[in-house]
This record gives sequence, C-alpha cells and structure tokens, in this order.
Amino acid sequence: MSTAAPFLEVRSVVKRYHNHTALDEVSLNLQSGRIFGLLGPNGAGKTTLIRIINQIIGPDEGQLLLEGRPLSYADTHRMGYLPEERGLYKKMKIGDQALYLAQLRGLSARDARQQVRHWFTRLDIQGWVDKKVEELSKGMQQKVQFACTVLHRPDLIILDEPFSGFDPVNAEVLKQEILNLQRDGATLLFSTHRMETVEEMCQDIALIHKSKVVLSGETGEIRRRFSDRTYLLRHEGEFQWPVQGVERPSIPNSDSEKVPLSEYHSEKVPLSEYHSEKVPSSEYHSEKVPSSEYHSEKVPSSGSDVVKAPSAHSNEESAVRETRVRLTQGSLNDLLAHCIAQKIELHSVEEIRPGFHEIFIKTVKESQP
Amino acid sequence: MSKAGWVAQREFMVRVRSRQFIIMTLLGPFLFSLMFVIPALLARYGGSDKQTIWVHDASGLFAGAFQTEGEVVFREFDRQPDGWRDSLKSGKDLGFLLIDPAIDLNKPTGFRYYSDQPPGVATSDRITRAISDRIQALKLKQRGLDPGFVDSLRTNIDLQTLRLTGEGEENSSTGAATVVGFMAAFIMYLFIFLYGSMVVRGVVEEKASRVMEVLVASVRPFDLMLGKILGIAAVGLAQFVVWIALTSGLVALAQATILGGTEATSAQMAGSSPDGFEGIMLGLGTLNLPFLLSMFLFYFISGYLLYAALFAAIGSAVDNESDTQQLMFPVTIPIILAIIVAQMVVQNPGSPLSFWFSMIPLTAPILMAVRLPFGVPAWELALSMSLMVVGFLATTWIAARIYRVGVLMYGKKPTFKELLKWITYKV
Repeated sequence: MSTAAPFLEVRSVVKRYHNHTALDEVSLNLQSGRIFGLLGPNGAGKTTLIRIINQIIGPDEGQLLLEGRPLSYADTHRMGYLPEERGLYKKMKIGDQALYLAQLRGLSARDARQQVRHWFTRLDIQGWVDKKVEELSKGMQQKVQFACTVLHRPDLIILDEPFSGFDPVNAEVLKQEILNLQRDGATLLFSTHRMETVEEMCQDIALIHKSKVVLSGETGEIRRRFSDRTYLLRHEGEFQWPVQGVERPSIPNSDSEKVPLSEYHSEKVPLSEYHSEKVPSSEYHSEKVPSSEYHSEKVPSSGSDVVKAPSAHSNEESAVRETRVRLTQGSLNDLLAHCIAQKIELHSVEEIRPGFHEIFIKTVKESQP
Repeated sequence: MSKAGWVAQREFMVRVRSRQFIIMTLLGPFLFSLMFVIPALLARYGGSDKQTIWVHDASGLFAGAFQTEGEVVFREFDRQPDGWRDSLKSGKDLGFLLIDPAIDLNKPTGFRYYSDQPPGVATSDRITRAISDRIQALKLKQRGLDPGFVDSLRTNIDLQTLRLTGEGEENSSTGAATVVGFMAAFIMYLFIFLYGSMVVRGVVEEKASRVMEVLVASVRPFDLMLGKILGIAAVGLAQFVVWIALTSGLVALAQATILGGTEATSAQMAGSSPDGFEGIMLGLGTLNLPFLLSMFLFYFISGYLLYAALFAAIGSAVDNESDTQQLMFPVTIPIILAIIVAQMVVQNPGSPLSFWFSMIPLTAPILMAVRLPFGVPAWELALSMSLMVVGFLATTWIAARIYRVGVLMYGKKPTFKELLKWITYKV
C-alpha cells in the first residue's frame, strides 16, 4: 500500500445495533485514483459500512476523513452510489429521473441536462430518454442506474455488486467506463462477491468478516502473503517421490469445496501460451491467462540451463509433464538441485499463488471463532 | 433551491402531470356540479310525486278535512265503488283512504289506507295530521270552544340570536354557522384523508422500488419527508382551487341556462325549504368571512401537516401498500372521532366537550372548523392554534424519527409498538 495520505480514511468505526455489532473497529484507507475491493461473506457488515461512508447512517464511534478532513454532509455531492438493490421510480421518464437525481447531488439544472445527454449518449440509451423505467429491459435499467450514479462527476464512486444484472457485452462496456472513470481520477469502492472482479480490477482490498477487517492490503501483496510455496514444474522425465522438504500439494477447491469455480477459472489454457510469454519479474501474475484456481507466476530461472525453450504441448508429445510441488523446507534452489540430481530436464518453473477465491475462503475459515 | 424544495417540486410535477390527476381534476367539478344540478332538475321537471287519494268517509265527520295541496290530490266519494281494489292494482299513484262509520273521538281507530306502494312519510304525515286536526276540532266543539280561537292562541316567534362580544352585540345565525362549519369540517376531513394517503403511497412506492437507498444517499431523510409532504400539499391545494373554481363556474352556468334561475338550485342546496336557505344566506352576511377563511386555512394546513407526517412515518415502515392498512388504523381513529364529536359540538358549541376536543391537536382542525362560525373566544382560539403548531412540530419530529429508521428497513412488517420504539433508535 502506498504511503501517500489516503483519499478516504475510515478510522476505527464502530456501529452497534440492538443485539449485535455490525462494525467493530473497522479501519480502511482508500488511496486516490485506485479501485478498492470490499469483500466479505453475507452479513459481514459491508452494507453497513457503505451506508456509513454514504452518510446514510452515522457511526457510533470512529471517524471518517475525506482528504484528511472529517467527512461532512456537503461531501455527498462528491460521491456516487450504486446500491446492490437497484431501483428507480417506475413511472417517471428516465431522463427526468436522471435529471432529478443529479440535481439532488448538487448539479445545476443546466449542468444536469448536459451531463444526462453526455452519459445517455455514451451508454447508448439516448433514444430512451422519454421512456419510463417499467418500459425498459433489465439491462437498460442497469445502464440508466449506472448513469445516475456518475452523472454528477463524483470523485468517490461506491459500487455495490456493479456487474450483477449485466450481460457479458454490457458488463464489458461498464468495465471500460469504470476504468475510464478511474483514469480520470476517480476513486472507486467496490463491494463484491465476484473474485474475478477483484482480481481484474481492484488494486486494494479489505475483507470484512463478522464485523471486523480480517484482511486488507494491496492485492498483489496479499497474494504474495498467501503464497504457500507451491510450484508448477514442467519437465521431461519422471519426478521421483519422496523428496526431502517437498510434498504434493492438495489441490484446493477440487474436493467439492462449497465455492464453485467460475467460468473464468474452469478454462484450461494450452501450455504453449504460458511459455510464449515474456515475464519481466517475479512480481508478475499471469492474470491474463488464468488457467486454474491457482495463478501462476513465473520464477526467474536461477540456472540458465534449467529452463529450456518452450515446446508446444500436445498429447502425442507427452514427454513434457507437469508436477505440482510444495516446499515445506529449504529453498527453491534446493528443489532445482534435486531436479538436476534426478536428471529431470526442467522446461519451466512457476510459482502458484492462490486466487482470491481461495484467500477469501481460507481467511474466513481461519477467523472463525 | 434546498433539497426539500427539489423533492417537493418533483412530487408536484410528477403528480400534476399524471393522467389520473388531470382526469380527476377535470371530472371532479362535473360530478360535484351534478350533485347540485340533478336534484334541481328533478324538482323542476320530475313531477312524478303526483298522487290522487280517494277518501271514503263513512262516518261523515271528516268532510272537508282533506285539502288538496301541492302534489297530492284528495277526492272524496260517498260509497265504496265496486272493484276499487282492482283499480288499485292497475292504477298508478293511487291511494284509498277508508274511514269506518263509527269513530270514537276518545279512542279514534278505523282509518285504513290502501295503495300499491307504501306511502311516503310526507303523505302519511299529511293524512294523520288532517285526521288529528279534525278530531281536535271536534273535541273542542264538544266542549263548546271555538277552534278559530284556539288557533289564534298559537303564536310563531322568530328568535333573533345575538352574540355578545367585546365590540357590542352581533347578529348570529345558527343555521349559517352549522352549514359553514360542517362544510369546512368535511373538506378538512376529505383533504387529510385524500392527500394523507397519497403521502403514504408515495413513500411506499419509493421503498418498494428501492429508489430510496439512492435518495437517502443524496438527501437527508427529514428533507425527503418534508419535501414529499409539501409537494403533495401543493398538489392538493391546486386540485382544490381548480375544483372550487370549476364547480362554481359550472353551477353558475347551469343556473343561467338549463335551470333558468337561481331559486330551484338554491332551494335544493338548503334541503327543501327555501325559507331556511334564505335564512342561511342572510346569516352568512353576519359571519366574518375573511377571518373565518384565514382560520380555516390555518387549521387546514396545520392539520394536514400533522397527519401527513404521521402517514409518511407509516409509509416508511412497510415494504408494500397492502401492509399499510393495519398501521393506518390507529392514526385514523382521531379523525373519525372528531367527525362524530362534531355532531355533538354543533348542538352545544360552548360545552366542555367542544372545548377539549378543539384543543387536542389531533381533533382540533375538524372541531375548530365546526366551532369557528359560532364564534370562539379569542384566548381559546389562540391556545388551540399554539397547541396546533406544537402538535404538528411534535408529530413531524416523531414521524421523522420513525421515517429515518423505516426507510432502511426491509422485511418483516413492524407492529405499532415497534414503530414507537424506533423513535429512540440511533441511526
């Protein structure tokens, strides 16, 4: 996480209801111009926190600071909020609604009209301006709702499950718009259950469980933190078990774990694509090619002769095998040395870091009382 | 513009533009003016009340007792005609009054009336009055008294009612006061219910469509509630102004054209007695109308605000309209109670009952409307008005406390007790 002063700071916020505490000493920092993912199981307190940031409700204890100053009601004009439960007036023309909501967020009538035209054109709903919400398709309604969220050019945009209800085409449109907003300097807060959204878009996350922040930080850093030193080896020759300090990793989530694999993760990508990629450093996550529950990370070849030029993987040429290993002790060099000793010809070594699905489940399970 | 202003503007514009509003606003005056015009037309052209009553007086005591008057024609005949029962079956608007030969003046029985339809109250009244008058006259004669002398003893007194005020005595008219008071009370009742339930529906709509979450992120719940209440008040006032203007225009037009004069309509408006109506019209002159109208307006607005806030709180507590009924009931009790008490207040505008009910802010708007035309002591009026202001500030405060909790609550419909608990919640 960067050291610059946070754009929005949530400081030790506590919110109690009659018989339970919804938020217990929750602290978060949203950095300017970044996308922050708010994760957590249902009922963890995400909606409560979002409502507190939106000043719909107030915290019992703690403080919220926007650019270092305590949050004031006037700041709501700088915020855009897309709630999880979408809704607009059913019997009001969408153009009028957008205008109304923009004015409530502090835009002048003229400004509001201009922005409505701009966003409706941009999202390709201009022709529907005089239609009522009940006459629109679900996807169209979602677009209107998104437009209403960003019309007033907020610099803090809070999106609760932004992609739910969008078909893949419109989801892509929305994603690009969100990235544009970020590029234009907006800070975004996502609350989501979709880990692929987190992996694709978020730079920072916080995971709330049972009213507490149980995990937070930069996504890359968190993944590194959750590395359990599992590696994927591609090699010719037989890998001999057992090996001192190395074990076969159990493959998470394959054992009918509750969390289903999403479409993204179920796709197998031919090995050749991995190999053709130039990997600049160990920091790199091969996020473009999510091949499995695990995300692979190439490790700098510590011996120049270890990793050979990639060869296309095919069934006939089954000489190249894949082996997953997990180091329990010793270093990666020990493993490489062992391979050399066994006369195993290594083609590549990749570190496998857990995805957020796994991190999520693991963290939630471990913080179970 | 403040946010409550934006909200009020939206409420007003959306409602005023709706087809339902336009139809109701234009159709209302037609229906109202029909209420005036149809009875007047019926009175002029109907004429279906004509009735012929054949009287067979076998006793011979009642000759000339039955005087043809207005719609009812009395015919006397000497002997029972054959087949009169058959003619009754075929004839319309026929009646036969048969009087037995021997009538005991001290225990008069033996009067029978036959008709195809049971006689109306007016007809049977007329017959019994004619008989009893004649019997009374006969009895007086028996004692040697002149019935004409007895009649002269009867004196009609016209009581002039005067009210003593600081500035001296003023004429007052009980009839005018009653009519004006009741009309104002009824309009107040109508306004509170009509537009109060519009507030409920508006709040429920925002919750049910889930637009509420976006709204409360931009507007404070109190402003949202206030804006809605004021916006709908504006809708109501606009609708009333149009209604009154169009209705009086239409009635005037009807008088000038199809009714051809003011008397028929006027008579109908006052019930059936033109004298009574004239009395009321004269009585109106004795009322301080500008003062009354401004007072009505005050109670009208403060009463609406008081109840609209409570209705908004109820709307905020539920997710759909069908759940509102049960919660609305306790709120409507005082309104209905006020209408009931109003009838007693008319009998005795200065009674302790009148006083207390016109002090309680929940019932004051309706009861003060009834009392005002009779004249209310200044200190009572001042006290009631101050209590009214305190009352609507209090209900608005309570309602706002419930509202800000309610708008975020979904799921189980709360009980009335839970609603009261929400007042203490911290949000």
